[in-house]
Amino acid sequence: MFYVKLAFDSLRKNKESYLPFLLAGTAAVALNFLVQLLIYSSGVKNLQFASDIVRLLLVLGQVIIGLLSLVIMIYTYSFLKKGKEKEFGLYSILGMKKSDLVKISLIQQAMSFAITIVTGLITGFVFAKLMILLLVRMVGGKTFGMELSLPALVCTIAFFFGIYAVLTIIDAIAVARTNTLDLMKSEKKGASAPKNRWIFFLLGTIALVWGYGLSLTVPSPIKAVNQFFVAVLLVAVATYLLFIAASTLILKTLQKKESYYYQSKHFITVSNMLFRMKQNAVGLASIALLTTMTLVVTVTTASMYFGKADLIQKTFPRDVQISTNLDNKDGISKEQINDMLAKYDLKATDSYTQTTTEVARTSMSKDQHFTSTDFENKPNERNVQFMTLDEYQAITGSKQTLNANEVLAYGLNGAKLTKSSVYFGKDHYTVKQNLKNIKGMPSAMPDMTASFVFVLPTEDSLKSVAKNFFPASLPDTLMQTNYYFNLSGSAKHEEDFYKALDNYQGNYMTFQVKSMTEKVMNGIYGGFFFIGILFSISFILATGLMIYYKQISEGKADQAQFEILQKVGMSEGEIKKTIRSQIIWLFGLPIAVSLIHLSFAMPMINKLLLAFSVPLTSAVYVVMVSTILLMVIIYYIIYKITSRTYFKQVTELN
Amino acid sequence: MTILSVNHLKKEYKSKRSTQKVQALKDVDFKVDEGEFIAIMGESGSGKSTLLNCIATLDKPTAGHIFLKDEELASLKDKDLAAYRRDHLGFVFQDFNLLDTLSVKDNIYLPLVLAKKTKGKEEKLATLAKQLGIEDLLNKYPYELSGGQQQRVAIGRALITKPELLLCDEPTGALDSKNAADILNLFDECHENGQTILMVTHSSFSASHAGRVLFIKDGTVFHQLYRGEKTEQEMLVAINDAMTNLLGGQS
Repeated sequence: MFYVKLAFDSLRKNKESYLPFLLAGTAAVALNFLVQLLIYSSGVKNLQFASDIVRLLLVLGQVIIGLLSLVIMIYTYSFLKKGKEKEFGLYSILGMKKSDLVKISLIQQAMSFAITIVTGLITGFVFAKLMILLLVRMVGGKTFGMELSLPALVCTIAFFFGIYAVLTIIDAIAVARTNTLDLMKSEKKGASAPKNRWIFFLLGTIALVWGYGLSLTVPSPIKAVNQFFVAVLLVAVATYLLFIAASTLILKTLQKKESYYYQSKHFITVSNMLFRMKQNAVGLASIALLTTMTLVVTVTTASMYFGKADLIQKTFPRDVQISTNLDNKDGISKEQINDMLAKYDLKATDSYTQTTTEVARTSMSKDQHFTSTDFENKPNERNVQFMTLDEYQAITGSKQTLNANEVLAYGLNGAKLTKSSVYFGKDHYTVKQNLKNIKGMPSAMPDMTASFVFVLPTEDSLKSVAKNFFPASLPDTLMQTNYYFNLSGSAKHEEDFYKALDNYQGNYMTFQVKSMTEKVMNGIYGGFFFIGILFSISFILATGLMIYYKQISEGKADQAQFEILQKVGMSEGEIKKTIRSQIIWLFGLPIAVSLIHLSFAMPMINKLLLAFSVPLTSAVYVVMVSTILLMVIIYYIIYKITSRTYFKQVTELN
Repeated sequence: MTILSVNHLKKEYKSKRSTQKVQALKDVDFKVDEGEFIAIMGESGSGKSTLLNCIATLDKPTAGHIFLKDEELASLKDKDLAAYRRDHLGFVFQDFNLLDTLSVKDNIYLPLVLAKKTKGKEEKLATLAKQLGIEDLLNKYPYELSGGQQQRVAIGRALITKPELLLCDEPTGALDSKNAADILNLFDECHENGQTILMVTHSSFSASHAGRVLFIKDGTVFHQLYRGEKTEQEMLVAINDAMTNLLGGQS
């Protein structure tokens, strides 16, 4: 009981440094819990095919957040440790054994653990629920299922139990290794001059180049999914190492440049930052990583959301499209469709018909040889469709002519021909023209594979070419007729019409409805977007907290120094200038680094999105720029607030 | 020529919790001539640190005036105070107050950098370093030095701007007798070079190096002692006698 009282007293006496530590701990628990809740939530499970990527991103996020939590907890604890060690020194003088001190430390850790876990879990859950309420209203969707799940609870508690165990071990080592007088003095002990850490620098550079390299050279969307994880971990580690090593290197170089260093506004800033880099670097790297994650998550989810709308527009030129095979007796004819429409009192408008071959999966060699292949998601795979010149002229009204061995080529989803010769099996053709579009033809394929539509001169040439790709279906199922039309009529009747189509649907008829696809996609990508926003907001808040913590805790440590400076003749104005110049570093550096990280991550994000059939649209860049701006504004406000507190702290003369 | 004159200085503190006023300085009145080495002695709580803080512009007097070379310190604006300290005063503290983040060299450069007068800093440093015997320490950091060495560096920092007045607050308080003697000899040298020094101390030994000793008790100048032709030893005896009287309450 006596120890409990002592432990509690110590907490109370050091509450100025304990409160920020508990705050950071609470935030860390809340963030981890939030991610855990999402991983196990029914909302994520209901995302259907996107559920896998969301789960992947969440687990990835959990690893990074877990890592960050550990670093942040140790970092924030280091500020606390000094004051605590002094107190332990006092107890030691008063006759306590080292084992007693460890016991007190253990009780304190248990208290902090209990406090942060309880407050963190509650905060995390309440925050998540509130955000869901808010966002569901904003995004305009169904509710997003998130339950209080036992595994999430257990995971979070176990993880933080581990973190606090680490802190206790750090404490125990400190107590065991030092003698009483050292403990007493530990608060006064300043950091020693940092040395260049070449090994850190080297390892960091290797990790960074490797991580960036993985992103830049990722060959296919499928590979991207696997490599993304590795790349992110490498870059995260590199960020920490390089912030520690490179910042020292840069500051030392600046220090050697006399004309820069010996200016009142740089002098204190540079020497100060150099000394505190070991601590600073960890804080800055954490901020940079959080910022990067915010950006990556926003870009990915925004791409999903905006890419979807774009994709739907391109894949569906009309409300309804029906594909059928008219050579087969089970195919559905235009008259039959019109009869059905009449039956449900609906009217088809803007309708047109196209006849092409079915889609063939091919692989394209460097010389533009197309050969039939299975679906393996390799980068050289192309979807290919053929149509005759007659058909092309009929739907577009163009007067284009073709000689015997000439084709027109239309590339979709970013497909391009670089040479003028194409080979289909043994047939060689010259590309007469690369078409920008074919009227009425969907300008995107739903699976996002780069695709081509070739216009061949005659039906015979088409059949000859098609032999290479559709041997089994020749000749009567080769051609596919597509009806495209918009609908007008009551919504109820539309529903009935779709139901009737559904009943008719068989081997020789498929249909797709824009609005139905939209609804499904909205559910999925809306959920995805929602998680993205939730994540981003949590990250921005965590970053804000981190910056605030950094300023406040370091302000306390800097107080003695600025007191000396004031006595020696530094005016308040100059102190303000010094603080401002420090802030520009602390504020700008992480954002600059996260922007660099983001730009190197873009190729990989792009591929990753393609793996899930989402193209990168220009809208994404708008979102990206607005996110960056928003983040800068939020951080600026946080810095304004904290630097004022910081200034007040350091200029208090006693 | 008078460099510093303190006229009827009075300083009252209001304690935070009660309305009762504490009088730290009642009526302090003295003058310091250029090139003088003056020591202010007194027990703890006699008000000598308050006096030093007022002269150092770190604190404002309740009443009375302080003139440094015809300039009234009270007339300075708050924002100009730091610059004034930097340009006209040098400080040596009991606990050195060096910045651990700066090397010895940079600690000494600090006032020059703050004053944007870094031209010719190398020559100034070279002369001072030789005089202070810290030539080998310039690239080290304060935490690598002994107390005596740190105080030398602090003196270097105080002198590099060639201040009109060097203010010392218990400069030997944290040093052993050997280092204390070395530091005091350094002050003697500076004094011989024409530096005006005002030192606050409660050590008779430190005060025995001064040319004049002011004794402060209960917020007033209680007694003063000129060295005249006395040796350091004789001065020390005289100071101790005066202190005995001071403590006994009789002059």
